[in-house]
Parts: sequence; C-alpha cells; structure tokens
Amino acid sequence: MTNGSDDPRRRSWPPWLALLRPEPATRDRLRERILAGAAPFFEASMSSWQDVAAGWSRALVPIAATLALAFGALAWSANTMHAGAAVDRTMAAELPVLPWEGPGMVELAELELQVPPGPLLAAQAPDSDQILTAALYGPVRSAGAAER
Amino acid sequence: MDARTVQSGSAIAGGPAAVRGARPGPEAGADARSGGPPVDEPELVRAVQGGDGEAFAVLVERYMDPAYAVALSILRHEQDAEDGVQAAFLRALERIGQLRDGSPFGPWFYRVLRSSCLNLRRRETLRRHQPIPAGASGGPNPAREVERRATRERVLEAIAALPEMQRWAVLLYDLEGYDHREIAAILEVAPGTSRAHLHHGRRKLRRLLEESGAKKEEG
Repeated sequence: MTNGSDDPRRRSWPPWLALLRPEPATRDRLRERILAGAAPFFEASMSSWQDVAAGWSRALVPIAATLALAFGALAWSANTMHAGAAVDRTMAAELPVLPWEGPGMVELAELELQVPPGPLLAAQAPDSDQILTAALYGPVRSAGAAER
Repeated sequence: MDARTVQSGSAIAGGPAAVRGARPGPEAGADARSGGPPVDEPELVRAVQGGDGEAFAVLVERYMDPAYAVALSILRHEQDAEDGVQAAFLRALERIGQLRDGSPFGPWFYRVLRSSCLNLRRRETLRRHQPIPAGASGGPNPAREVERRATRERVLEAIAALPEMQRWAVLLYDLEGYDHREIAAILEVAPGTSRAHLHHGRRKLRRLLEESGAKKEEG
C-alpha cells in the first residue's frame, strides 16, 4: 500500500524534510490549539446524546406510569379475587355436609304406581283434523285387515 | 496504509475531558513505539465518529508533524502553517462522518489539508513571509540553531519554487510514504501523472538545493 516505508512517526524522514518538523514548543502549542478547537465538537455531541436520552426519558415517563397503574390494578384485582375465593372456601368448610334426601329410583317407581291411571277414552271426541292426521301418518294397515 | 498501527498509551475512551487532557507529550511518536495496545486507523476513525475525543487526540498526534511540514512548505510561515493544520483537523473532525467505514484516514485527511491550505492562500490573509533573523533563537546553541534555520529556509524556498502538484507528490511520497495510487487519489490525478510529478519534482528540487547551496558557499 505504501512505497515501502511505514508510519512516518516510526520511520525517519529524509534529512532535508526533517528540517520542517515542528519544534517541541510549536508542537505543544499546535496540539493545544487543535484539541481546544475540537472540544466544543465533542461537548456538542455529548450534550446531544444527553438531549436524546432526556427526550426518551420524557417520552417514556407517561408510558411507564400508565403501565405501572395497569399492572397495579391487575395485581389489586387478582389479589381481591384470591381473597374472595378464600372466603368462599372458608364458608364452604363451615357448612355441614348433608346427606342426599331426594327420591331414589325405587321410590320414584313407587310414586308412579301410586298415581291412578288416566281414562282410556277421552271425554271429548277428537276433531276431524286429528283424525285425518292420524290416518295419514299412522301405521299402514292392509285392505283385508281394514275390511275385517 | 491499512496495516499501519497507531499505539496509544491508554485505552480509547472519554470525551471532551479526554480531549483536553490528552497530552501525549512532544515525543509521543517515541512513546508510540514502546508498548500500548495497537489500534488501527479504521478503529480510531470509528471511535471518533462515535464521539471519542481521545481517539481524535491519537489521530492528531499521528498526523500533526507531517501535516505541519506540508502546510509549512505550502504556506511558508509558521503561524500560517499552524492555522492551516488546525483548520484541517477541525474540518476533518466536522466531516469525519463522511469517511466510509474501513477507509484509511491519511489520504482523506491530506485532501482536507490541501483544501485548507489552498483556502488560506486564496483568502490572501497570509502573513508576509519573513525569514527568521539570525540570532533570534534562544536555544542552547544559537549558532547551530541559526544554521539550521537558514538551511530550513533554503529548503522551504526550493519547495516553494516547485509547481504545486510536484510539491505535493514529493511531500506525500517522502513524508508519508504513500504510493502513487494513494498520491493520485489525494491529488485527483492518474497514478502515472503522480509518478511523473514525483520524478520531475525531485529532479527540480535537487537542482534548486544545489544552486542555493552553491550560492550560499559563494556568499
């Protein structure tokens, strides 16, 4: 990449050019000037970084507050539900366990037997619509059976 | 270029405080040679794009010297060179988001530096070139320092006399060690053109330095 020489600070300059090197006092003064001139640039970049951070923090504060409120509400409601369930469980523990007193299958059958049978013939004659419906949708019977 | 590593004395992290506190010292290049976790440039660039000031300080340390040498040879004044390098680094920092992930920082940075130097020159607000007066140095060996500065002035004059593309080709090749494909990308020319610029630039530079040396000896 170079013409064979290395870093100019590491290699020696040609004698005729070495005369143009800055003297130590000149070098110190020049360095001071350059770095003093550069300081505002770095301060500006630093302050702009701080501005960005401050802007972000300003934007994030309401969001963080909202999130904190939401999580707080959720935590509060969850805690309340948990407490309610505990109360319910306590109440349930306090109630006596009663035996089932409803009718069993045998008792139900006995009850059915006690009901008197209904009348075989209806007191009123069925209307014609019911008769026709029964004729249409009732079981099919053969013609001979009908005549009998 | 991709295989190059930059070593930092500490982990890459921090912000503006790290930028202010990042003082690797004048010989950070020497520090970089001794230990510390290697950090490759794409990783550094990603860190800077993410706002890491210390990673930027490592890049500054890595590119400051050659950038200064390039800016000085273009603008020919120390203060202007400092202005140009600072402007280039800050401009690079502003636009570092445009650097694609995994792309090398160096060639892109030199394009930014070239643009910054050209803008400075175009504005015509540059300080007038003033050679350092003799005896101006307060170093431990004033005579030697004066000699060094005079030589430096000759080199700067010679480089300034080169056409712009030749000047950039010579500096990028000899300073950064870039190959012609990279130099061509920075200068936005074909690699063959970059090769030609380097060849002619070096030949002309040698001639100019010899002439100025002869003049100096005559003087």
